[in-house]
Amino acid sequence: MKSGILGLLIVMPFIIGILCFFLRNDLVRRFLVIGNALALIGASIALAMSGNGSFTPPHEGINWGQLIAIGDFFLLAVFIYLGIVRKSPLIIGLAALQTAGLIWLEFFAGIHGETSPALYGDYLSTIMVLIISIVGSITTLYALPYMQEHEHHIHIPVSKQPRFFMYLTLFLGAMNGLVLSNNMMWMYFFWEVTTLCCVMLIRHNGDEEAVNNSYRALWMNLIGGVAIMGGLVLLHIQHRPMAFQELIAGGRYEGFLLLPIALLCIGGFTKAAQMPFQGWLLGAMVAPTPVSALLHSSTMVKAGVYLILRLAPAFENTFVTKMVGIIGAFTFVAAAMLAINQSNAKKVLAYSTISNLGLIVSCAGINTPLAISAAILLIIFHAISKAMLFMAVGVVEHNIESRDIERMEGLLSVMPFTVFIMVIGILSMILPPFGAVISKWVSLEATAKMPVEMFLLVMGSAFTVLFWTKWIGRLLETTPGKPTPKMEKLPFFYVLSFVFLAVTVLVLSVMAGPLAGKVVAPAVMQYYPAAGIGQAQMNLINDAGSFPVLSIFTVILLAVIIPVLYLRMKECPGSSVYMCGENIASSTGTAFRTLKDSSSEMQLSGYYFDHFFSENRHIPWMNPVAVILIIVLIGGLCF
Amino acid sequence: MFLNSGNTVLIVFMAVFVAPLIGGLLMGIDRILSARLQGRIGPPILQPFYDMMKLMSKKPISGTKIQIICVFVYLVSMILSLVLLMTGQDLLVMVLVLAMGSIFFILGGFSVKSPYSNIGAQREILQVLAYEPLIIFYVVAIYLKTGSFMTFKVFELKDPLLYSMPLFVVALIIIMVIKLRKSPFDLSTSHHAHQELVKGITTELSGRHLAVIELVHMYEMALLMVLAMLLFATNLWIGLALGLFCLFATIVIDNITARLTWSDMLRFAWKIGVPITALNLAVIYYFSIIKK
Amino acid sequence: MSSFDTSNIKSPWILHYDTGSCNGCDIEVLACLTPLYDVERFGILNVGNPRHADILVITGAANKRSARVLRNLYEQMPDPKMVVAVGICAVSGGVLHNCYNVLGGVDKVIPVDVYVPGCAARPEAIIDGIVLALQKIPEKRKLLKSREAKTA
Ligand code: SF4
Repeated sequence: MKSGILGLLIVMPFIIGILCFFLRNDLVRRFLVIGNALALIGASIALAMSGNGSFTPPHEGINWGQLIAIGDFFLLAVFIYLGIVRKSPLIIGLAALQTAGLIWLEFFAGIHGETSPALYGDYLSTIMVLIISIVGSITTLYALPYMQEHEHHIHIPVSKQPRFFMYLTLFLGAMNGLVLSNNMMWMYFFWEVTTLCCVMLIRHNGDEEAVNNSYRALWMNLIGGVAIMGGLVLLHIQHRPMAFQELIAGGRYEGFLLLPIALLCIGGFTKAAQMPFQGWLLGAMVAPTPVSALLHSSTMVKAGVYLILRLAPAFENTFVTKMVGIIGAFTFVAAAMLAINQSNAKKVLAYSTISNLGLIVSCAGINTPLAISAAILLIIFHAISKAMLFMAVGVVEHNIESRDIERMEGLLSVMPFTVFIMVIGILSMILPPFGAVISKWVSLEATAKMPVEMFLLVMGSAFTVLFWTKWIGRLLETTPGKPTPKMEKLPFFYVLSFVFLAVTVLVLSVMAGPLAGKVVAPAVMQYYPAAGIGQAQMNLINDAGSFPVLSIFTVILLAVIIPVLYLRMKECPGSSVYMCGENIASSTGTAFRTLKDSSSEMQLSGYYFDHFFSENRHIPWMNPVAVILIIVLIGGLCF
Repeated sequence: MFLNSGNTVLIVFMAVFVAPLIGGLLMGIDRILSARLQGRIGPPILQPFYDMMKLMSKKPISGTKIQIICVFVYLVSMILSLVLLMTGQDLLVMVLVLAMGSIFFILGGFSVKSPYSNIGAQREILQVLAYEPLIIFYVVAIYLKTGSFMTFKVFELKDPLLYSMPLFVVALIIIMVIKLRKSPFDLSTSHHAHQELVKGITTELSGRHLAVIELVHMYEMALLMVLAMLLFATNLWIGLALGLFCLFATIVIDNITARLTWSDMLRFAWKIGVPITALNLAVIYYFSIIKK
Repeated sequence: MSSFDTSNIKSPWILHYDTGSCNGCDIEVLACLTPLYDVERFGILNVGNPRHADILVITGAANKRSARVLRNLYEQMPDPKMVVAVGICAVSGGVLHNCYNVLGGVDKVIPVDVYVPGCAARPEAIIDGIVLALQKIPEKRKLLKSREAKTA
């Protein structure tokens, strides 16, 4: 039973991916992807039902350890090859370093013969598997019509979809493998597979920018790979178990013994695009939208925060925890600040992802049960909202041929459904009683005793509200007196994924109490004495406060529904806006009389605060600060 | 005492029906005081109610449907946050609900393609950006003293909070100036006869929709009073006096200053307001560590 | 009188528009706001926005350029609305009467409820005019209602 589920979750995507590559028929691929999605969703739910426990794959003729090792070498060879093609000594060097470490581990250190189970599914892993399999699968479904339109838009002669869907499904399998691994060598293998998939997907369009950005993603992630390899080698040198459960159970560590854990965390930072490694995720937006939706929501970056969360119990109350908390909080503020100045929708989303991941990392660093609960809640809600937002931006991009927020002005009257989804997505990031804000509330209450983190978090939250609100403001802009817009027609899979995600985020937000009590609390209790969070009927409570989710939800719902009904009954008489009486009757409704009695169109645009928040002004100090923080993290352990 | 259900009903009733009356009266006092400071006699004390009644009676010709929905949500979340505050619920939730109201108000302003309402909305975001950290620090300071985010715990303290958080009186005045949109920070829209970019974010609202905004102002006034009263929860009359003092200071500031730009506001709130509260917070942190 | 009428009378908000006056009347309108006359005693506020205004106070004669603005502003005011023409220019064109670009009094463009003559109209006269306009408001409300009933 268990092996079947795990096989479906990890191995099947690999097989289907390869099938997608070789069976080049559109219809077949469609069936494969849909089948894959259904199977993954089913298997992940089955896994959640079956409870947690360890699992070692049966040997039956296959030596899994060796297979993984061969896979590792293959991946590193691919990276070195890519480095040679690019003539980049940096990439070659980083890959070679890992190869050296791997050779030492495999052939000289003799890591085989370990008895710990290779796979272990606890609550945290199960939550991650659910997110990956459900949100990720929905993304692959969304990709079906999207890639068709995309290839139509960029006019390429031979369809590259087989390759695309291969990496997409591979990605899901690798992520599932990553979060279920207990053996760190396995984790390392899946880690590198996600790096490879990510790089290949970023360069999918094949233009110069895409290729450049993919190489940037490669070397940044290879730094993470080196850090992890370093951590593994050190663990082995220190004669400590190279398996998560045993490592965490091994008790508190101090000083030099923490170094491998810190290195693993740095690996997590690179994947989670924490400052100063944010560059690759920003560059990743050149890829087709499903890739961004996948990278930002359920996979890749979540691998980074997962790793840190997984290790959190091992560095509780140490120097590492303090530094991780500060690095995360710093990223949270810095990225939110930079997002304010951006008018590129995908870049805003990317910065917001970085910022949210910073918050999650920071929660992992604060490392109290309450903070860990906040982190898990954030992972869940961020995945759903962000997937929704990216998908909506993708659809908009195909329609208006732009991802500029300024070009989205008044989009509500053009694409009401997509904009509705987008607004729900954004509101679910910033408004109570949506889940993301409930999680932020939990995290704020968790940080209240840590002055530095609390300060940064408060500032970051204020910035977050600023850039999101600005964005929705652009979307909603309508001219009074215009007729109610008609719904646009969208392909079935778009509507399916939109509706599914919107409903999920709503339901989960309403159910935040039970979600916290029944899902998150047990996950935290596995490694901490208490959960710090729980449910009181439908409300979410913690040691210091309570969030009356249901009552707030009802009241707000009524507040929206009553005026909607009222307006339906009573058409509000539209008229022109105030323009000092100089309005001219025109088709747009926003013309006014200007010089020489000529008519002119009123134009509006958002504030971007170039003097305050521009990248040029802040990146030059942010990156060094982030590097220094990481050096302090390592240095503080060595000396 | 706060969890007693009969009491809760009473408090909810107070929050929903009595609070706006008090808030309206305070607004009337505000107008009279302002007039006196300018050497005038000023309107009757019930003027805000007359204004509201009049607006109710007019035929609205305003804006877009979205704006009207947003205005209602603004009202509801303002009432909700006042109810949360007065029934002793979580302070941080109260702040979040409050922020939600402001966000809807802003979205309403954005939803009309009107230059004035749009600039007003942009500036309203900045107002939120300016006072939000201060309110959250206020809440955190209360948490550090009471060990809980629940408001009713404040009433269980022996010493009033004012003794340990004196600097937050200054913070409250800053919050009031910005939140009530008083000079020098009446950027997004303004009270009285002041004009800034016509009426900023409320330019496109008229009739009963504008009346809703007036009503929200009344609740807002009451909410700020209750927030100030928390500083002296052991004797609510002194707390009220403290709140009135803050309001008085706000009105005086309103009348002796000229409007500043939004960047000045941000600088002021973040370079003066935040350090002041941070200093007070640091002292509280310091003592709570020493105690341990 | 219903409470709505009372409040209508107690809280007139004014929009002041200069259709092309010599500024003499404008200064007198502003003088009404000063401590000496202090019209806020009667709840009168000078708002800058037709949507919030109840009474449109016009100074100066209507000319070809200002007429369309005047019409726009009038249309953007919510009902019931009153118009007060202040100064002889606004009443009939005054000294500017028969100028090549002048249409005449503002009643050539929009309906006027109260005429306040004078060159310049004194603040007392202006306040008087506004009070007169206020007294007409209940009447106007009734008129509007009956008109609405007819169209419906
Ligand atoms: S009436 Fe006299 S004072 Fe008034 S605008 Fe005309 S000329 Fe000027």
